[in-house]
Amino acid sequence: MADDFGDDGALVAALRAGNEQAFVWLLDRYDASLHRVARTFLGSDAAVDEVVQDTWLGVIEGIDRFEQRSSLKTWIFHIMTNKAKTRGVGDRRTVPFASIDDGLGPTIEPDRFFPPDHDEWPGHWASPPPAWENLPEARLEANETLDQVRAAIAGLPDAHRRVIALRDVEGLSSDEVCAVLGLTPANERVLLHRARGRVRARLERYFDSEEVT
Amino acid sequence: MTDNHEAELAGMPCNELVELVTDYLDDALAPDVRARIDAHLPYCDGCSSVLAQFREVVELSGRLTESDVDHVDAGARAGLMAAFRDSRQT
Repeated sequence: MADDFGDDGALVAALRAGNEQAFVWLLDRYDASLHRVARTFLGSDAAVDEVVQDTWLGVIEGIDRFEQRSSLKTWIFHIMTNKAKTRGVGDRRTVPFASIDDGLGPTIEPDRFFPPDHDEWPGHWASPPPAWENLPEARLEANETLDQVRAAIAGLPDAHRRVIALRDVEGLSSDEVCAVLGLTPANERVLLHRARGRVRARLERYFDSEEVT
Repeated sequence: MTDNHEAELAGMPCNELVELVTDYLDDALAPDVRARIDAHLPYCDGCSSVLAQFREVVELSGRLTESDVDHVDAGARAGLMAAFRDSRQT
């Protein structure tokens, strides 16, 4: 039975004590995840591998100084994003992170609602989305559906892609994502909402086109 | 029209509601705004669908990692283990 490293305090103590199982546990848990998230910052697989490798070396080097003001996981992802941003200077895929005004527009096309001056239903649905509950379970769960989600995320602007990758794909909390990416909670939610809205819209179009065939 | 009509519009217009779904799911809304959404949803299939679809998007996104084959680079990992070992020997 392996040690329980689920508790941050115990895990950090084990790492400091040189417990190799603890380090293996950490690699198993976050290495693939770090690779996936690093890919949202960097253009080449080689750069991703290097940044993740450097991140782990940073963890090894810094663990004695880690003050546990954040979770270990947040700290590790933060090291990675800093290294990725540094490395990404000059990389064409890396753009400044700040811009929230992205031109993605509203979550749902405005023409699907009645206009604000409509007599009876101002701002109400003119063309409501069909309920996905009516779709066969198999279609919703199909690999093709996941491919659509993957493609929609891949097509997002960088800032949105990073937020949805961390929150919804990797399952970090809102607080963790804000700490890792240096965002305010409000900005994080704007980016996340627009990202999810894009994925939703693509799935709606996809299910709609399937319906016809 | 009907009671439904009144109740629905008293809550919030649909085009405003759909922009607040992520805040709603994160429980990041002021209580009065949340209450208006809760008042609206039971009368509105369209907005209820959008809320359910956002939940579905979160669920499906979380499944993307399942099909991701963990490419463990044995060489890199051995290097890291050695670095870890070395760092603990002072």
